[in-house]
Amino acid sequence: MNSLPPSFNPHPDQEPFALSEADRLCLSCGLQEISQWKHQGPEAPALSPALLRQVSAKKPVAWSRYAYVMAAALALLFMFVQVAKQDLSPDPKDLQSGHILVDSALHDSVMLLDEDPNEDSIQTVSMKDESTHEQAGQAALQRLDPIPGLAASGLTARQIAMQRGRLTMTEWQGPKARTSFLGGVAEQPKTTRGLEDLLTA
Amino acid sequence: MNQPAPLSSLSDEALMPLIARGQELAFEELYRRHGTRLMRYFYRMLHRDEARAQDLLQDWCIRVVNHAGRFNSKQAFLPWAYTIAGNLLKNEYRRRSVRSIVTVVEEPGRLQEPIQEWKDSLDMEAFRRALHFALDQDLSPEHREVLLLRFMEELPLKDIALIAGCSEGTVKSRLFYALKKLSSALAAFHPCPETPSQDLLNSTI
Repeated sequence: MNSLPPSFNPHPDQEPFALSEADRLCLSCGLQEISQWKHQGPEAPALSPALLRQVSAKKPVAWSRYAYVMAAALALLFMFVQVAKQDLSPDPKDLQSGHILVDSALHDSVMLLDEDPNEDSIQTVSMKDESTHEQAGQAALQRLDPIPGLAASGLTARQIAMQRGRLTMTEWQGPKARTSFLGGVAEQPKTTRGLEDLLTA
Repeated sequence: MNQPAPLSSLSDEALMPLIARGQELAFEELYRRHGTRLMRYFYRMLHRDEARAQDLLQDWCIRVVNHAGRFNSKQAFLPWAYTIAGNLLKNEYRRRSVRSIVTVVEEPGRLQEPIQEWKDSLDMEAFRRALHFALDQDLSPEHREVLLLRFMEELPLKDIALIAGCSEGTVKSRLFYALKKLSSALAAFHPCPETPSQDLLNSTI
């Protein structure tokens, strides 16, 4: 057994942490002196007015004072919700065929237009059922133009769009839209108007 | 009509909520009780650097004021106060090289002069110088902390353990080694220049 017995003492002639008599004699005066230091030495300086002001500044602020802050926060929240609720999706009539629209601002749907630009050809896949835009885009492609083995291919909608060369993927990110186009469109419109111009060009 | 109790009759722990509510007088009362005590503790821990001790006392006050709201009035004030002081000292030791400052402290002559000659000229002043030198030079900050808290501030081991952030056993061990070092540093002064008090040691560890 490796553990030491409870009574183990590396110095059997001494209690643990016991000082020898010689040590005690040498120390007694020193400790006597140290005990006097509490009463000897510099006095604490007077409290500075700045420090006292800091104490009074710690007074808790009345709840009424927080009302302004809370009102401002609520107003900001309301504005944020209003902006978030805006329908950022472009009007389908503005879109041309062969576009996938990935709405990444609202994270709710992916639309895909067929060659024939009428409303019936718009395929919408709910993002709630798909974990990523890419998967949603792929699902939209499957619905519109089923390709055997597409789902198993592991290709993303972006890759498929690039391969087919006729699709444009548009990613929307809020009012200041960041769009990335695949399929030959080079410009990056910053607003809905810009997107519209680009798509009808 | 009930008059509020005078601040001088309130305990330290009862003053803290008042400080948290911004009562300057409560803080003045607390400072009156402990300011000089803390000042002297900083002074000894910082090798009798009075200016720096004042700075740290000021920092201590600011911390107490800023953290008064977090003080749990069920706990004792002194260990809390000395824990803040200990943290400030640790920062101070970390910030500067204490050794380089300590080396300018005057050596009491134990190396330069023969022991016998030194003993002949022994007096209380030489003894004090040797004690200061031993405390500043021979002891580590951890050993100095427990030694001063125990023998200067006369705090119980339980509180020292709280302040130092270690177990009571570790405090006892540190005290033991601190005393051993002090003892060997003061061996040349045996017998002491003044009548020793054995009571102090008997209740030590």
